[in-house]
Amino acid sequence: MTRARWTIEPEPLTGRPVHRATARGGTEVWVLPMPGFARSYASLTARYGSRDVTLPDGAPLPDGVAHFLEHRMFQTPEGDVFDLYAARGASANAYTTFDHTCYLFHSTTRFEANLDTLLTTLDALEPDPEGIERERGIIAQEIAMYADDASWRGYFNLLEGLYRSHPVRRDIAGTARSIAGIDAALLGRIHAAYYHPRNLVLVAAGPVDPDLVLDRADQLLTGPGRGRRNRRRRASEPPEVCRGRRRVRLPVERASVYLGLKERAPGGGRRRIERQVAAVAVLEMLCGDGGRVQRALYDEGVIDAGFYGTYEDDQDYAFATIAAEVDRAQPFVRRLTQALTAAAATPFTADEVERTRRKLLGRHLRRFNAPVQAADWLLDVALDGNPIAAGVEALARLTPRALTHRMRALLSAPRSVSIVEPRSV
Amino acid sequence: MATATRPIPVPRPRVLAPGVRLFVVRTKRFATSVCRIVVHRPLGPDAATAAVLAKVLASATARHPTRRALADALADLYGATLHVGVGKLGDRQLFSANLEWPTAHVTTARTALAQGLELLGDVFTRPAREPGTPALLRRDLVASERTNLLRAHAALKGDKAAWTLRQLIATTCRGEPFARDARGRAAEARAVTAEAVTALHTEVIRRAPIDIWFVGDVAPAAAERAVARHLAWPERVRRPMTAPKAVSMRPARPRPRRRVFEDAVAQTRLAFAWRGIVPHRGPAAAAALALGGVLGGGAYGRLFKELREAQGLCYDASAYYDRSKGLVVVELGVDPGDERRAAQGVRALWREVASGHLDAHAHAAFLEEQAHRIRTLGDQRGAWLGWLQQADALGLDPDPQARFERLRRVTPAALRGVGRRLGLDTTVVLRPPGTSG
Repeated sequence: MTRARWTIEPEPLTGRPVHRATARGGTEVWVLPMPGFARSYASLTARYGSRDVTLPDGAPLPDGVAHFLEHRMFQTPEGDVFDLYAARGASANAYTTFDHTCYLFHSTTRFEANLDTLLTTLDALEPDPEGIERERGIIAQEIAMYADDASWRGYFNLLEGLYRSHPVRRDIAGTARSIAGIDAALLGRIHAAYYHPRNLVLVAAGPVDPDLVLDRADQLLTGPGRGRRNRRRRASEPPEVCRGRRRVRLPVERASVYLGLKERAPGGGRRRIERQVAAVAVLEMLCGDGGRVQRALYDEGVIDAGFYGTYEDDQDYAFATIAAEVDRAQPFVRRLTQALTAAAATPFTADEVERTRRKLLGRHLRRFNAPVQAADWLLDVALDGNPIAAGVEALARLTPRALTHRMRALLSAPRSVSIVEPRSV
Repeated sequence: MATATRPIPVPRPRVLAPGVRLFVVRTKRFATSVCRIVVHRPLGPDAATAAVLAKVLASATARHPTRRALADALADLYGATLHVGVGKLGDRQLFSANLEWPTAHVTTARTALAQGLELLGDVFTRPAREPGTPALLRRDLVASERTNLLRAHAALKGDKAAWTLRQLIATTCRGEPFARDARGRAAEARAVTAEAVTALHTEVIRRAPIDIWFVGDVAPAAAERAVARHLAWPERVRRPMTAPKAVSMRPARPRPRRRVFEDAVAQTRLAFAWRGIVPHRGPAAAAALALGGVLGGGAYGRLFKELREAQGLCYDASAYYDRSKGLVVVELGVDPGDERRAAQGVRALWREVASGHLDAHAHAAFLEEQAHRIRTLGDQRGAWLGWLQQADALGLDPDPQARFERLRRVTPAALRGVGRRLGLDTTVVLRPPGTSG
């Protein structure tokens, strides 16, 4: 019965069969069987994250409420869901990002029982005022922990510098002040709006039976709400950065610098994937081990092994971050700027591009060394809505000319710098 | 009740050269192969020299004289990842060189095994040398990596939890090798020279006890031949050094020591160390492991349940037991106003568990977690190699099922017994100025 409903496509490098179907309640289900592994993994993800700053009817939401709801979903009338997993030797967790909230477990036995727990966890919210109050204290400590984390502070200061109004500029956990007014009624409204089956994605990987997963999803992901999938309106955001420079002093001994390059919103579809893959390749060729900028600055003793470049995007935002811990921030910013300009002056060679393609293919291949990483890739594919081969195909199409063009476009994007400095400076 | 099964067979070593053992495991599970060279060294004043040597070896080789040339060679192997570094196991420093590279699903699959092993051989045994002075490793690389090591020591201040734990271990184990970070001390790093790094490399190649671990989808005989060919040791002495002792224990100091550090932090970090003499094999060690697990091994632990879930005092609170040192370590972060309450809570939960109270839920969850961990060892090469290395270094039974059975047999009386052996030794507090809970 369930077998006929699967669309099965091979993963392009390993040939592993990726199963995709829609459960009766409307939830997308993705399964990657990985026989031979002991660990099974499953996640249930709501297309709702910290960037969703309103309810579907436009009512505003406080910062940090998606993360707060994530914390509360583990409480049920029967007690803490963690306890159910723990009693079966399973390990469970959850996390909130800008655009989704993911609940997950991995186990080696009793997969079906753990899957049932996962699929019923998001059914209802436990409206326990005392528990909500206690959670506020726990989250306040989580926020305080990140307030002492130099890399977290540097990263979010960069986002505040890059973006004027886009909600990615706000801390995922919010602030002690923004979470102060969160109550059961508000959490309940958000749950009803965003935690219904059509807005969820179920992913499983490991030694699992796809038919079992779909069957349990059919049985358990049925209600209560029948809303629509969360289709975000593009956030309005000017192309220029909000602030060219942000600086904070913390009790650290080394400075950190985050250079952000703000690109225009890429939109959706294959074009976004191609832009993303090309940007990742460019950053690898500039900032990866042996990259043009990395090797110059490393050989000069300006940076250490912690130097990196990353790219993040969604349909309505895209930015690159180049970051390092350094002895002195200002001279580093000047030297990095020079090195980027020098790198952009020379087109990429065929050798550079081929090596980078191999590196990125190897990185993709490593995902299939573990069900957890494979499932993470599957979730990205599901949330992006692109063909499963899109990323690997985009890698195959990289050319020196196209990447040189991409590099120059990326490096000419508006910039913002976030600096974390030791208090004694 | 939890059960566990042996994940994959425990490999038997083959001696490649005096003091050089090779362990090969065949598995089809992974798309990549791993080869790890592990050198067993004392954790002494030259720990920083070894840390610099590791980074120098990862920078260039005789055949790949620049960082770019080495990075290109790794990229050619579909982004092989090379990690050369140091860690510690009790009083022993572990110097390791690890290469992971795709050996299937790529165009180079047929020749990948030999290419990868040859590259690892270049890194470990044929480093870049000073032009005109071939007896010496390159001074510029040593200088650069010495600076980076000093930077790494300074950067630890940015990680408040790790920094607090470092102070705890340094204070608790003062005068013992274990007090030293695996990378040595900053003062020792400043004194590292190219001559010292070269001498250490020569000693490692000629005399140090070395284990090589290979995990991949290659027949053991073929893997042995390839490793023997590409990782050969022509300059090996006939009688190499023996592996240094990893285990040493001391009783807790008669009066616990409390160290308070003040800095402009938002959150107070608390760390506690209980210690005692607990034989590292056998039932007492199993009881101590259970004690650490029930106290704070995960979201089921008493610290998490009471201090976080019941009292809402903290976001994270955990504990672990180090069997090579007889140490139970507890670490958590709290609001500065809750420092005293949290510290009292930690001590009360310690008394509860150490007096033999095995909370049924926490105990069952701990056993389930251990069974899960054992069953997944075969899925995670890093964890599995770590398990085998620890078993070998500490003389433990490598059979996970046997070790699990010991944990399962821990009784409240055994917990009480080990609780009596362990005493509070040190507390470290990092808090904002002018606060004391």
